[in-house]
Amino acid sequence: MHGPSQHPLILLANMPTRYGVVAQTFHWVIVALVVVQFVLGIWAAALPISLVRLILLASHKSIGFTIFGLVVLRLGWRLYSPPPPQPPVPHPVFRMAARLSHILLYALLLSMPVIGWLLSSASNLTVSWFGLFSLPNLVRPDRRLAHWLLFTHQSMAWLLLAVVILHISAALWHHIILRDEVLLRMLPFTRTDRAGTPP
Amino acid sequence: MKRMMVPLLLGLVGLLLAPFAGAGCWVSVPALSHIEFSTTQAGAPFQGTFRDYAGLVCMDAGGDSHIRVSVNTASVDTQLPELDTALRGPDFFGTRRWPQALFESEAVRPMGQGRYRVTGKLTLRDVTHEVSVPFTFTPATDGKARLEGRLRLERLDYHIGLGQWADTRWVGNQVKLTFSIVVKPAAGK
Repeated sequence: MHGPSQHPLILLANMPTRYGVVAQTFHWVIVALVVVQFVLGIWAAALPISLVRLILLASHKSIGFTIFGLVVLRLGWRLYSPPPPQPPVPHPVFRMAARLSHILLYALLLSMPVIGWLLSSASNLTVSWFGLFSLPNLVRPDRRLAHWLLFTHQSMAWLLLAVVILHISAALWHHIILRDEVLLRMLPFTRTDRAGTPP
Repeated sequence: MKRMMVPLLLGLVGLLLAPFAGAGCWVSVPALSHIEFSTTQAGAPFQGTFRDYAGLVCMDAGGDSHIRVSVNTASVDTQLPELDTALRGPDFFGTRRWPQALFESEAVRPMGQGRYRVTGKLTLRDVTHEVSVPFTFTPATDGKARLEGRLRLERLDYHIGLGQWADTRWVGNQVKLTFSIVVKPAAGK
């Protein structure tokens, strides 16, 4: 009998013990893009008006819109192929915290690009996706609104950083203290047989 | 009541003369006019306006026409204060050395049906090129008239955007100027 891991197509979908290739790819590509977004955003914010800042922010906007699209697809995939169940935790409050922090991560990843898009529109800077097409302006240019949206966008970035730190800490806590498969099942090229699941 | 009669009568006279106003001179009414420019940034459309300018238009059927438009380049408004400051700076308009952009022409050719083509000299910074601009001249019933048209130019031809800003991939070289200027008969005519 062939196990599920022997059929490459089945590896795409999530399994009871680990995330499949599609969910893992979404996760790590979005991780990489969010890291790039932080670098571009913080770098640009520190610069005076210049061509470099224009290029950094144009790239920031293109990547932000890409993240939005990937998160929408990722949520769709999550509906189609449900994630493996949460492992046991010492107290129900941890389950609740995990759920809340995951919802918050998705909410931030979806809302930050929209706030950024609004910010660009309010700043009279139409968003172009890598120069291939332009997004419609959501609001008319408005200096006060732009100021407020920038503050919101930046505050959300720090909140995202805090939740990401919590997320990483929780994954390490699962791996090192609880010794379960929560971290391994999202890592490529690993086996999740810590709990003795048959290969 | 009597005080209102004079302007009312003048207005009426203006109304009657409007169709024959071709020989007179007109001055711009800034509150009703706008001069916009559009280009691209990072591949997306980008617009701005000039708030302060003055236009004098003398149209004469006998061929003695004259158009002069001066724009106070420091009045550039892109709704981005930081960018406006940069645009006033030496890499763009250099408004301290060259406070005015100027268009001057004595060659206005009627094309029929209220359409004209004006050929003249456009000066931005210290660079002058000849440009030819089609426009419409539409008299209104209140004695005023509207000039509308557009002009395409390449900003680098006029040294707009020096140094890092000479890049045309991120800051478009093509600039479209759109004007809609309401003019009224010049005083003393």
